[in-house]
Formats: sequence, C-alpha cells, structure tokens
Amino acid sequence: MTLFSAYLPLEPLPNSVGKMRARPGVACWDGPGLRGGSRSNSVVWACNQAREKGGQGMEEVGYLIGAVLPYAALGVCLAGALYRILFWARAPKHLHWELFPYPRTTAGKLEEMIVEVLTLRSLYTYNRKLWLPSLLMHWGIYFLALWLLVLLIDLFSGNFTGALGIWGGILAGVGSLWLAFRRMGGDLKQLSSPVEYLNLLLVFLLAVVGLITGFFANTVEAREYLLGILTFSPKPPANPSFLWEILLGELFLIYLPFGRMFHFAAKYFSYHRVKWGEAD
Amino acid sequence: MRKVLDDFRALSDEVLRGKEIRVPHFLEAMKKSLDRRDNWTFWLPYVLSLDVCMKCGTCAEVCPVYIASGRQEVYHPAVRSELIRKVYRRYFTWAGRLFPGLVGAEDLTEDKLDALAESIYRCTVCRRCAYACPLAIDNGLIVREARKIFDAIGIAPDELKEKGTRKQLEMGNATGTPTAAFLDIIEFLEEEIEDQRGYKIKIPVDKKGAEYLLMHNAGDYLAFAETVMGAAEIFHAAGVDWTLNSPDTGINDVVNYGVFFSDVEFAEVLRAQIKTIVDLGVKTLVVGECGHAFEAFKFLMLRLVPPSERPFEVKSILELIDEWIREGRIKVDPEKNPEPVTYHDSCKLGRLGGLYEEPRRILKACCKDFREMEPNREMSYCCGGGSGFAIMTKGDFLKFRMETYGKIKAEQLKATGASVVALACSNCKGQFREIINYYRLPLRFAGISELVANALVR
Repeated sequence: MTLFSAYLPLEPLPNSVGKMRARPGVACWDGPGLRGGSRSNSVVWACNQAREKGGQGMEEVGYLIGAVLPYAALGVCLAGALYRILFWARAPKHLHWELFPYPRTTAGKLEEMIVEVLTLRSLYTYNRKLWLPSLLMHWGIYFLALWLLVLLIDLFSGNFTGALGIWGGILAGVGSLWLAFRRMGGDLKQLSSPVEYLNLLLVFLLAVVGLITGFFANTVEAREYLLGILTFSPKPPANPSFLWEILLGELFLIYLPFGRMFHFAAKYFSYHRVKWGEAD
Repeated sequence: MRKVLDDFRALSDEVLRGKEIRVPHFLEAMKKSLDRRDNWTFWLPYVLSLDVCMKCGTCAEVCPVYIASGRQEVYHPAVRSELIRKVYRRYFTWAGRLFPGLVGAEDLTEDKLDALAESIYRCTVCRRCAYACPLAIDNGLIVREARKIFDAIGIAPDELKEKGTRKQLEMGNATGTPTAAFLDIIEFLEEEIEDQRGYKIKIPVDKKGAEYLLMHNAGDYLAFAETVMGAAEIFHAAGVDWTLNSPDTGINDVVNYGVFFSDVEFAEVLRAQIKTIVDLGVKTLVVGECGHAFEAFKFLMLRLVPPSERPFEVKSILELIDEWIREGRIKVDPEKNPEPVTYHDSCKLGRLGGLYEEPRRILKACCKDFREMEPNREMSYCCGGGSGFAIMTKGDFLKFRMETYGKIKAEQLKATGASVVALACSNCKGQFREIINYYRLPLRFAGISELVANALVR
C-alpha cells in the first residue's frame, strides 16, 4: 500500500465508505466505455435515483452488482468456457496437418509452451513492433491473475499483494492502450473491426478502474469481498467504488469465453492437436 | 478479362461461371464445410482458424507474396482470410447476424465471390504464416477450405481439375501419356543413360511383387527427365528389386492435385493410386521428387485409409537415397559435382513433411561445395510453384508468380553465389525454371537424383 500509493490518484482512504456515500457523483463515475450498455445505463439511472433518494437505490444496485451478478457472471463464464472447450475437444480427428519441426516430448512441449506464454517469442521473432506492447499487456494480465490467487490464499503480506495488483494494472493498462494505438496505424488498421478495439478497451478499463478505485491496492477490502463471494455469503463491497471494477469484471467474465480473448484455450488445441500433431 | 481482384486472373470467366447466381450455392456448401461430420478431415484446424485470429498481422510479416508485392493489401494473408471470415460471421455466427458492423461481418455478393475466388489462388498454402503465427492460426488452411467450397459449387481451375485429377483418373496420369508412349519414353531414357554414361541399364516396368515401386510425378518424364534417369541409375546401382509402372496398371502418376483444392478429388485419386499399388503387390511405395505427393502418402493418407487397406510402406526417394548412402549401399564421390550447390526447401517436403536433414546429408555427400540459402528449413520462402501454381500460366499469371514469390527467390539464389540449385519437388522445378529465365540468373536447377547419379562411383 505505502510503497505504490503514489501511483493511485483516487486511492480510497479507510473512511472512504462514508465519503463515497456523501459524494455519490464519484461512485457513479460513468467514464468512457460504461455508457451505452443496458446494464450500465441502469447503473446510471440507479445512481440518479440514489442521488434523489439519498442512497436507498444505490444499495439495491450495489447488492445486484456486488452480490448477485458475480454468480451469474461466473456461471456464464464457466458454462461458456466448458461449451467452447468441449466444442473443440469433441472434434473428430482431422487429417495430419503438422508443421515441422515440432517438440516431440512432453518436456519439449512444455518448454516451448512456457517460453511462448511468458516471452511471446513468436511476436518477438516475426512481428517485433507488437512485441513490447503485447508483452506488457500480457504480463499485466498474468500479474493480475497471480494477484487474485495470492490475495485469496493470503500467502504474502498485503504490501506485496497490493504491489502485484498495482503493477498488473499499470502494465495491462499501458499495454492495452499502446496496442490500441499500434492498431490504429499501418497494416493493422485495415485488418481491425470495432470488436478488436473493444477488446482492448475492456482490458484497459479493467486495469485503470481497478487502479483508480483502489481495488487492486486495497487488499483487505478486496479479499473480504471476494471471499464473501467464494464462500457463498456475498456482501456488497465495503467500498462502493469497487462496484465499478466488479461490474467490469462481470462483463469480462461473461464475454471472455465467447470472444477472441479466449485464445489462450484455443491455443492448446491449435498447438497440441494441429501444429504439433498427435500420436495416432 | 474483367478485373475482379488485381491485374491477374487465375480463373477465366468461364471457370468462374460469372453469369450464374452462385452465392446461395456457396453458402450452402460453406454450411457443410462447417459441419464437423461433413468436413471431419479438417474441421478442427478450420474452425480454430476462423474463430480465434487476434489480427496481430504476424502472418503478413512472413508472407512472401505480401512482402514481395510491396505490401499490397489484397495479398495480406489475414485480409484474405477475413474475406471468408466476414461471410462466416454474417451467416453462421449469432454475433455477426446481430451486430455485423461491430464484429466485421458482411453480406456476400456475386462480386465479392469473384474476388474471393481469385484471392484464394494468390496463396500457395506454403503455411509459412501458420508456422510463425503465435496462435498457430492457419491462413493456408482457410484458403484450402475456401477452394474446397468453390470446388463443391463447380469452380476450380481447369489445370487442377479437368486437366488434373479428372484426367489422371481417366488416363492414369495427369499428363495424359498412354502406355505405348510411356514405354517409348522409358526406352529413350535407357538410351540416353547409355549415351551419357557409357553403360546400359534396364529400367524395369510393371514388375509385380517388386520390393520398391518408384512412382514419379508423370510430368517429370516429359519436363524433368534427368530426375527420372538419375533415379533409375541410383536404384540400379543400389542393386535393389524395383520397378516403375505404366498406365496399364492403373495410375502411374504420384501427383494428387486434390491436395490443392478438394478432399473429394484427393480421396478419389488416392484410392485409385492405392489400388494400383496393391494390385502390383509391391512392398514399398517410393514417392519420387514430388512435394505434395509426399504429404499425401506420408501424412494425409493415414487417417483417411485404414492400415489394412494400405499394406505397403511409404518412403520418399530422399529418405531412401540418404539411407543407401549411409549404409554404403551406393558410393558417391563429391568431386564429381565440383560446382557450388545450394538447396531450396520445398514447403511440402520441409515445413509440411519434416525432411530437412535427408536432402542436406545427401547433397553434402555428393557435392563438393554445398551452400545454405538464407533463410532455410522451416523459414524457407515458398518458390511460388506450390498448390498447383507451377502449372497455372493463364493470362498474366506467370508474371504474378515471378513478380511476387519469384522475386524473393531470385534474390536468395543470387546471394548464395551457387551455380546449381538442387530441388526435390516438381512444382519447385517448374517454378525455378521460370525464375531462372525471367531473372536471367547465371545458374541451373537440378533434381537431387540427378546430382546423386552424377556422383555415383561404380
């Protein structure tokens, strides 16, 4: 917390709960990307209601986003992921279509996979201009995944975990923004449809809103909230501004299995079953 | 001819059936291509390649056509794939039906169909891009699947179908050579060997129960006879029980253009070839210097034909020569090939077939000065003859081959300083013959067998 708090312009203070309630305009920040969708419209509407009714509606919306939707989103995510993975896994054995050379041993395959996942070697070798931005974004996402894991099992000190989350957010935010700019110029522009930018925007918002609201940094409150969800005793987060990050996280979970961001799972099949072949 | 994509036309208006309504038929065939049962042969790599491209453009950075053309958008491999993906999304995914603009989905029109048909004949399915792709997405496969869809609605280059697979099935070979003419050629080649080398060898034909049946690309008998002669000398020197076969026995042409554009044609040709091989009762089929035929027999056949129905071994002539040299069954003297020799990795033999070391060991044993071409092996640039292009010359198509793929290859060749480029694939030979003429390069091409035969010590 202390080490990286300088990076957090809107880091919530311990008594921020009360502050947020007092200033609903902050909690109801309807920044870019949150407009338009029916759910976020309802949030904006509910926030307006909240302003009028002095927080009553806000609590309902908070409960919906913070305690109900997480389960819906997780359910959709798991079911969607299962559906898509089975869709590929149940594929009939296609004709051999390997590319040589490829690793023949499990150790060799693991090595190539790990090196590719951690260093994005293909981009480094063949498409250098995308490598660094992509690497930053991916490492940011890896950091955030690790942050979530470390947070839940409470393995390290809050300082370390918070730092992991903050760095994850920074890397993912910078990487996704950089990638979006790269995409807007040169050969990639002709190749990109709006959904490519939306994917990057979603990652960017997840990262930035997580930083701004302090969700990544405030490990005690984040942990308490997430554990509540996992132990089926959901409570809206103590810090209502977290709701923005939670809502984005829910959107992300719902969208993940059906969009191209699911490529990490597809990659298993395209490498292990196609490019590297499969024993008969 | 009217312009539909660029300055070239691989398919004539007649082949394209430009006056007919084709879109509904195309969509129906495409629907079948997306069915896991109807299209089980390539369904998994196909749907993966349609669904999860991240549009990073890495494919373009390694694509010979795109780079050599000065990065023209129409030749961008992922832009080409997007032509078919847009149709896929619009008609076969809910996101594309509901939000076409958002996800990049578009209606198919007759004009777009023309452009798509031409576009898929600007890629040789060399799969260099699939090798480099971080996700192993395969633009080459998408091209081939699109070719399959077009073939299903009756649109395929006549060089590959009417004068290719159909002719091969009818005449026994895609060159249309009848048995009498074939036997004349064999006799002529025996005389040629005697003239050149001063000894007489008998080239066995249609010998039942032989250990090895050597099946060449039938075009080699007409265009690259040195390869056929070289192979005969090598087999003779090895003292093995071998034979060639004539159209009398069925199919005497190892090519299978179905590999390029149609699983249906592929399977039909393969069945006829297997019947011929089984009828002859040979132990091993030796695939001559032909890239795609090696792919067909060594890989594509395995899951298509049950082992009991193909009771013979398959070997590339490269594998066999390499074995024989290492065993000492044939003796070679590199001093007999003193000129600098380089080797071009055929895509089908290398990236798709894994034969990288065999040709190199052979050439190092048979040539005094072997030089690598850069880049090579899995990053070898396709010469531009692949997927049937070597026999497609209509209109300005030869110019397309020369100004794109050919341009890179010519530069690579010059950089080696070699005076011979060794090739092990007929399509490559056809393309290099043109490259050497077009760019007036001071070198010649030679089949591996030709160089080995020249180095034989008797």
